[in-house]
Amino acid sequence: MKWRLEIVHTTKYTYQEDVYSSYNEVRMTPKNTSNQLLLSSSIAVSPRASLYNYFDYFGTAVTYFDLHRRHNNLDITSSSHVEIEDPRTRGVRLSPIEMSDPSFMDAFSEYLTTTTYTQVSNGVASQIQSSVSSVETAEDRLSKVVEFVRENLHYRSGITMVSSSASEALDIGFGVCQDFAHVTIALLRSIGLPARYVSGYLYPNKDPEVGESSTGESHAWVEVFVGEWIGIDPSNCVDRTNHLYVTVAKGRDYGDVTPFRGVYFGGQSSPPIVTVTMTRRA
Amino acid sequence: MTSRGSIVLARTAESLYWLGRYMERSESMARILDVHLHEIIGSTNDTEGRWSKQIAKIFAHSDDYSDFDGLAIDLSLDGSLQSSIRYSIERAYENAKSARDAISLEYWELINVAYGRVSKYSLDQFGHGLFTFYSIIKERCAQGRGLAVSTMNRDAAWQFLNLGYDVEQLDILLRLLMAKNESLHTEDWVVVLRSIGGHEAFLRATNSPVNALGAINFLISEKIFPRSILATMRRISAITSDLIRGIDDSQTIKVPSELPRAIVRLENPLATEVDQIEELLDELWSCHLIMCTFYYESFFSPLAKSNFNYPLRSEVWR
Amino acid sequence: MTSPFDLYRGSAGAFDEFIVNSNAKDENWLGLAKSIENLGLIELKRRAIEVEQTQAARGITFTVGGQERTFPLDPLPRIISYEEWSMVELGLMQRIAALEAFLDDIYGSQEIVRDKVIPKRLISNATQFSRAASFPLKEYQMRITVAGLDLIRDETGELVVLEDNLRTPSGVSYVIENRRAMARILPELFENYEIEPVTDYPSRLLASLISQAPTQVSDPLVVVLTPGIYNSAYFEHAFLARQMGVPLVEPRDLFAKGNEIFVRTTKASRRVDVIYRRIDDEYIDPLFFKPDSYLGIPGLLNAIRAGGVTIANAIGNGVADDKLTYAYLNEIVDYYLHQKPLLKNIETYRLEDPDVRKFVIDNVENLVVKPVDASGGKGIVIGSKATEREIEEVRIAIIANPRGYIAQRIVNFSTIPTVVGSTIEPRHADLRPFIVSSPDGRYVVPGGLSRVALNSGSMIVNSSQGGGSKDTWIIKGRSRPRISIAPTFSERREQPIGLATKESAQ
Repeated sequence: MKWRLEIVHTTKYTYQEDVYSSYNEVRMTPKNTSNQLLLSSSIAVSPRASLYNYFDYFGTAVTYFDLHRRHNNLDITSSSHVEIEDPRTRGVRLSPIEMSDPSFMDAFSEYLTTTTYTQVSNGVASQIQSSVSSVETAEDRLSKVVEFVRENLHYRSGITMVSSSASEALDIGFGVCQDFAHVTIALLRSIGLPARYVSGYLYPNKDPEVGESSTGESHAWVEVFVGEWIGIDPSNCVDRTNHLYVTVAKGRDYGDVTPFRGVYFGGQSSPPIVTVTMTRRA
Repeated sequence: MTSRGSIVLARTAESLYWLGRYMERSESMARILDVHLHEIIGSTNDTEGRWSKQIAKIFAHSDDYSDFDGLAIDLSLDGSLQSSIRYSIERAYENAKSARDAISLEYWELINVAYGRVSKYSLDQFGHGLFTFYSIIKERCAQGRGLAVSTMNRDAAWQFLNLGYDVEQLDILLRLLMAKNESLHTEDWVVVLRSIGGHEAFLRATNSPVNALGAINFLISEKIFPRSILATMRRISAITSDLIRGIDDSQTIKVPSELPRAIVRLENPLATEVDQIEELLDELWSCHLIMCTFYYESFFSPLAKSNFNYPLRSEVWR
Repeated sequence: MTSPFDLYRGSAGAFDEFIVNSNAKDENWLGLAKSIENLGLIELKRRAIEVEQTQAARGITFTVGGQERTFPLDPLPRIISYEEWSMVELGLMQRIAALEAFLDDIYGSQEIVRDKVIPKRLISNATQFSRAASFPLKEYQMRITVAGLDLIRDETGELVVLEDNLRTPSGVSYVIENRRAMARILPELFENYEIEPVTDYPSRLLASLISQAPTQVSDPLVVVLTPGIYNSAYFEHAFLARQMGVPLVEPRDLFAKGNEIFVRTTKASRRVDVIYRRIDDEYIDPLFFKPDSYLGIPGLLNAIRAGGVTIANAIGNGVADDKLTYAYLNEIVDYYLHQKPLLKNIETYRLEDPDVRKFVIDNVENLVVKPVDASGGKGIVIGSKATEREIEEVRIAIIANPRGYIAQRIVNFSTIPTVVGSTIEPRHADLRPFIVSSPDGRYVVPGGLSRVALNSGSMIVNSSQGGGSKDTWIIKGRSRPRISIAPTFSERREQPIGLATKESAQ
């Protein structure tokens, strides 16, 4: 399956009192990957600002801007066209011997190291480690992890916060896609499987007409290295991501891919109103 | 030379201004308290009570003091009291440190050493009393002024420092006049003249004995007495105009009209009635306050209005 | 007349820089010993007190726990021969050149990792590796504008490297002020020597900063960025700003706009071209690092990335003064320069190798264990002086996080004659030379800051823990007496202004 999507992602902030200046970074431009081609993209900001673009350490397109006039609302619109197909996998699989090879561990050290977001308690780590001890292939180990997440974490929004770590989410037992991703990543790393955090959009409708618009959502999922990188979506129990997944950024955890980050001087803001409209174009 | 010398950071300008104010305040307070304490020796309880009230009201914002010794000790060494000498020297030191790259080494050393002495000074130490303390302060501050005059470039930094000195001089004299203006006691006016180092100057300039109205007129409008309100305001006016000329968009900044108006009024013959004096002092005081706001808005504003008055927030949403 | 040096015996176990061995004294010291003999210890002590008073009056202080203290200056200088120093200087330049290339590489294509010279995790697991600052510099910019390395003289008398400080090393102001104070108050000691001057440093630093200005402006604006008057090294920040004749700014004086940095002046805003910063990485830009840091300048990092401003030192240098990176220094020098290091390291154990780790855990008592990413002596455990409990804690810490520590042999580093009470005694001292780099070349301050542990037998030289300092002389042998170097007697006797008061006369 190969198709074209138009994505319009708007974020509207309203401030209770005036903001005097603000400094912001936006990571909302889809990536070029082996199964995704970025055809066009643009970011618009209101109030008007000069935009500066660069690619960060993880290869994500970043747009930076600062505002120095008083304002009490801020709108950011990211529009893009992408062509996506289902990822092709070659079926290369790791053996436990390869996984424990020091040169393998070194090459993937960036995605094997625990970060603040991807910490789990020693108890949880040893529980998952012992549950995979008799399992041979990387992919079977992955299944064990997915199973563990399914049993111990349930989807509910409004309980965890943007700063919650994997262990906090596991303690509560509830979370959103960000927490599912962090917990899954933490467990995968603890059993020696390199894992990374992916942010992007998920198309909600399986088989739309050309020209049909749907309300999409910002989403987060996981890529794991089992001999090659494959995408899984733990919060939707999807064991292979497909053409419905639009990749924007990849990193060690949420901190590396944050879609919008800013500091500003002035009044408190209300939670933003975010809309993602996705339209099939071909 | 490049124009580098003319760059004064808004923060540095503010520090220099306050450095000048606190140095002047330290010296003035030392002189005022020193003179009052000396004059009290051999005077009546009545006088002591009156003076305590006057000084406490304008400098300590309190009516609690009836004996001058206690008041003087607090206004000298109580670091928590904002008009105390210790507090002023500590703030002068901090501001000097913050403007360290804009003042001369000699001036800095003096303030640093004075700060060291004052922060350690206690009354029972070496049997030194308040008089010793005042003589240290007066000497150090006068030396400081002299060192600043002889070692600093005549640039914008210098003008901000001097502006601070002059503004504080004006502030203190106006406060003193407002505290004493209802008094007709000759001794009150002798003490005011001495407090600002103007007793002999008065006698030489007027050739007449001290009386209330004469002293007030002298302190307010004597052209040849450098600490009079008129002389001080003229200096402030000159410095302010100079500083405005240095500003890139100087067209948009004007000295508030209250200042030239006040100067013109003082240049003309003064009122002779005491109640008119009070009205005049009120007018001068409000001019002084308007000017203080003006310095902030025109010179320090890039900082005063900067973001740092508002909370810094970070925003990360999902 | 007996010399105060007659009774001096050096110290057991360590190399003494005066008594080279049992039958030879370092000849370079003899002129100094003679001057001290003429002066007498009592006069020397008196002068030492005068030095301290002068330093205090000038505000030459550092701050510990909110208290301002002077940095005691021992009246006996340390003497290093020009011949030895020339080699050290070359070694320092070589080392900084290699580390500069290393930083450029790891914040670029990481070829050293691809070529498997160092493991990837040396970088990816380093706490000081800054992904946010991972971008190439412009060709006119340096990563290590200022370096301050810590050297010690080992038991054989060789100067070896203990630590690299490539972030915001401090102490150079004491080098210059110490020389000034010595020349003013103890001119007699200078009589028999020709000493390399140290006063060039500020102009060398300024020249380097100007040469790194982003645009071809004829008159770039350079500023020194300090956290403020309460910072422990504020004296030095103000000193350098004054000596270079540039504004000393605090973060609130600066703001970013459109990838340029401006300073708030009384007139208008002025564009800043080069920032010599003395603020740590994590406080520099709240958009990237600590989001609640009032110290930071939001937008600064992106202005640097865009080339709108140059910052010295660059952000992220900490990864190159990581103690585990130190352990790979030979490989790094060889990889980038195809040379052997001229300056040696102390034998260092990398704890990621299980066999090495076991050895270290079994021998903690005889080793020094250091956290890899700390500076200023924080977290260091000296096995021979640690309690049982501290040793056990270190063992646990190593097992939990082998990447977080390294272990080294305990070096009994050299002693130098030092005035203690009314005698001259051996005291341990280290040496921090300063290296300024610019696109055109490198400059090493002749000598550097010698820090001396004032307590007998102590090897802790940190100023915050009872350390003092020494003027450090690089001398060109014994030469004609020079008249010009010492001020006249009357000049020296002149009291610092402000000290002469009624009170001091009483």
